[in-house]
Amino acid sequence: MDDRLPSTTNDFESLLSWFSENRELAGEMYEKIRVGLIRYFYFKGCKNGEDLADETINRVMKKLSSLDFSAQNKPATIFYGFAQNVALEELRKDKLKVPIDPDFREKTQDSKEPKFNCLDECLKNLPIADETLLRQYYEKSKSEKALHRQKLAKDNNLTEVNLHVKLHRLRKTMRSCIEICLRKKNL
Amino acid sequence: MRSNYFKKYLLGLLSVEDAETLEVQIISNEVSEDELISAENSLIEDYLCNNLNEEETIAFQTSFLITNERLERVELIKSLTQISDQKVEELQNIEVKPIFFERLKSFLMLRPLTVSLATIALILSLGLVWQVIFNTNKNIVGEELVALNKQDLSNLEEFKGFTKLNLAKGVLRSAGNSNNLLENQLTEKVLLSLILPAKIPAVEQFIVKIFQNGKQLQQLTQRSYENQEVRLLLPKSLLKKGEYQITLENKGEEYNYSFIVQ
Repeated sequence: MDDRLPSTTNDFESLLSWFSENRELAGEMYEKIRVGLIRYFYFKGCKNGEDLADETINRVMKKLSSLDFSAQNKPATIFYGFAQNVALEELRKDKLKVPIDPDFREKTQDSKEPKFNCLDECLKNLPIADETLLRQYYEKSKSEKALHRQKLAKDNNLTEVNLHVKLHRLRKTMRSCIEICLRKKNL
Repeated sequence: MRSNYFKKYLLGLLSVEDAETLEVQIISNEVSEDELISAENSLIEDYLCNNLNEEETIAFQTSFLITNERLERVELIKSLTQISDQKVEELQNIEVKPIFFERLKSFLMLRPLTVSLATIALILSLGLVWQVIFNTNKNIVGEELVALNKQDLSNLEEFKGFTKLNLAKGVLRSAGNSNNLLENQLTEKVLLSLILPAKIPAVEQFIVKIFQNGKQLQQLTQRSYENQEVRLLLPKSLLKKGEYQITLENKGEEYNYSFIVQ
């Protein structure tokens, strides 16, 4: 069977029944696995984690009848087997064509580059509190950074881990904004 | 200790067995996503600041920084650091000129009554204008919403290019990031499927209430589809950044659904 074919309602129903006879519980388990897969693809370095999670679920659905449901195989383990293949395929597609330049860290970006302009524009589009937080977070030299971040977290009523997570979300917003900005500039 | 373990995982320095165990735990939500995010962030910054040892630097370049996606993540952090450093330099070079504020201060001190009356009048007029604009806009969006949902939504093929979101009953926390929509990526209309907790034998009508940040925006009646869900077509103009709650009411039962527009 071709794995790329979209799954049917029957496949989906079988998957839910496999999770649980209780439909509400099955729905929750489905969501939990999907969120877990999105997370997995993110940390593997893949783009479009949501699409890849759906692709993985589709592949599992199509093979449901031939899967080993013994006690040792938790759903997460079964999904993991399929997700590994999906990730491999995706990483192969997205692999850097040229190895990273050894001077990559030292090279300063030209502030006249469109990407840099977009970054500046997108920063200004953020709510003022978020823009300030982003700028403050990155502004200190490395010797002062640790103390500076501790203070920043405290000032914003966050733990340091939560501060990192908040910044992670802001960067995600920035990336979508930059992508749109570059598209508008036809780049 | 845990952050060091995550760092090794991201650098590909864990044994195959350990990496596999961790990845299954990631899928089954047994490890903290926040700690992993934090570890990835620190790793990238340590690389950019030359804080990794030789083995880690090589692993970073050969095992971590291998896809365009990861290169983009690293480049963004690099650019943000650069842009923030430039801003600090600019601020240090700017001489603060308080003349404008000094003048404003003396004007306000000379004519306090005139300034107070003018401020009150301005606030009242702005409030009035806002009310008129807000109410007109609300009515237009409400009419559009009702019109959109009068149509038959059974054939999902017709809505192929639309932004779609499937929602299970429950609170935001349990659904994680999958209940998020990005405002700037929404299509003109957005299709929501509100999955019912149990299958129903026949088509039923539900009262649908839409709330944003706890405030009710709209209410309408909608039928169920395929004995298992209620579908809603929302105009993009209704979806601004914030938390949305939708309640379905039928025969005294109430089901709540949530999502976020970012």
